[in-house]
Amino acid sequence: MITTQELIQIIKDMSEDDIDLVPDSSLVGGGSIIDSMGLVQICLALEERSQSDGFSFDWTSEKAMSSLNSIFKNPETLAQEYNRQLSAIHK
Amino acid sequence: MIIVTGGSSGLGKAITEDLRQKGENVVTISRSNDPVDKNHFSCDITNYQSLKQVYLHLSKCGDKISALVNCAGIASMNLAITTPPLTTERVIRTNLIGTIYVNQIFAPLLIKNKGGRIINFSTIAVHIGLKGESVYVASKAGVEGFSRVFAKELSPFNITVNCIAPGPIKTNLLKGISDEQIKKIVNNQTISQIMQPSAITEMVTLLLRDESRNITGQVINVGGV
Repeated sequence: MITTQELIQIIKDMSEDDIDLVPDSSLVGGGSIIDSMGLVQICLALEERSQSDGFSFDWTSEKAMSSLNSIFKNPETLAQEYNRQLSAIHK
Repeated sequence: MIIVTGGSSGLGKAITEDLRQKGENVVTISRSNDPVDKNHFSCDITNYQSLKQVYLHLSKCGDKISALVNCAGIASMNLAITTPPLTTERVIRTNLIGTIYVNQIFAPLLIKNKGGRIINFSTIAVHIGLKGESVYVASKAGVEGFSRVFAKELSPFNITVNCIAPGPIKTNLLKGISDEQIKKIVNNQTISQIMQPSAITEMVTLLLRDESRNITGQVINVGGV
């Protein structure tokens, strides 16, 4: 499991600047404070964490970049997707 | 460690052997089985999930991947009108979609390495618009376009992406082409001679060198056009 706050902390730790992130801050699109390079780094950080959780986080689903339901919409949706994939392996 | 796709035959094999001779640790990916080579993965590059499994394996091993050389590809010599649909699909799937998959899936290993080189393969036929190779040219022109854009996307991670576009090289890929056709193609090159595989292995070596760190998004026609 990953909490939204944990995910926010991961993103903050990766960022060189002191960024202000809340659970519904945009991670993609015009209002995002994360650039494309940052987004790739978040994916890799989650993949690394997922391996210690016993699965491999997949950020390439068709849903990932959907404008309405993107898993990258904000830290909360990304944490939800991570936890969804984690729980799917235990089913 | 360097990943070479299509490393079991033709140019890929020549590149793999050359790199290993130079002391590089090379992992090969191709459809063929090689139970002896522990650094070989039998995998079709058009199969996204199979490639992903290879990625996860390499990722877990923790070896640093410094370069990716994509040689896997197939040729088709046909007039566009007489090309069967399945051939069209197979050529585009292998040469273009397969190359894109390999780039997408393995680039994160280079990002984790904090830099590296990606070398994709095109062909002189794209530049000269070679008659009878429209589908093959379409697939390789796609690879060139993809590589140019991917170079921009990966430049913040100190990764270069380039294409090598050879003319006729003495490999099995030339089997279906007549001597006359080969002569015509060669005459389009600045250096009008059939290249040996060493011309390509030398170019690969050159692009892998640290001194090539500022060459990216380029299509390099070996022999000139």
